[in-house]
Amino acid sequence: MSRAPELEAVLLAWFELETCAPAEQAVHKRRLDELLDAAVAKAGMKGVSRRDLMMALREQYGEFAKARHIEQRQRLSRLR
Amino acid sequence: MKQTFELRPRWDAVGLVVTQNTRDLIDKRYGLLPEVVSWFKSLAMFRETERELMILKEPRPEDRDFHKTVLALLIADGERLRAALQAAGGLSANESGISTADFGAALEHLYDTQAVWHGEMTSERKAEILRGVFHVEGAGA
Repeated sequence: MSRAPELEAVLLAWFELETCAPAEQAVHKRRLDELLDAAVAKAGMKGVSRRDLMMALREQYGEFAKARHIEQRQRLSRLR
Repeated sequence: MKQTFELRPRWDAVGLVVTQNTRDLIDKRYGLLPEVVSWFKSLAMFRETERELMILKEPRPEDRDFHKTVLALLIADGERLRAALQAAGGLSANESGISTADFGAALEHLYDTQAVWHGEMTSERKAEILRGVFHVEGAGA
């Protein structure tokens, strides 16, 4: 499925934050926040917070995360 | 019906671990760093259960309820730990490499998770934001 590169980058950063090690949380959270802020600023939309944008992206994130988890599972099963 | 019996033990297990952590934290049983590490372990269990029952499967109403409850417990413990960390001047350097900022970031993201899964946003507002920011329509964009 093709998506806008900015959208793809946000979904990836979000997924990485939820799957990274504890000691990498701050780095990944900063990355996600920066991407969300940049997307809202570029669009010039007033009154949209990072959290609003994440709420709006819930379905897209669900599909993205599902595909990534399935991919990771298949990769692991090939290694075994 | 069978599916319900398969689903509950996972949430019950995460809930039990989180509840035990709450007791340990209130009793100050293990010290700050071990409590932070335990919190991260229960967060990992929560994310794993979320993945299995909420992302890879279509969540049932009871999954949403358990998700909401366990999430609230994790946030409450996280806030207790945040206050304790503040009082102690933060985490000192440790073998696991976890910093106070890592803990704060993980806790903040739980509030995002709460808003994303359990917050209210109309489909019209979602569509407006997605169109305005990413120039896309609907869930399949």
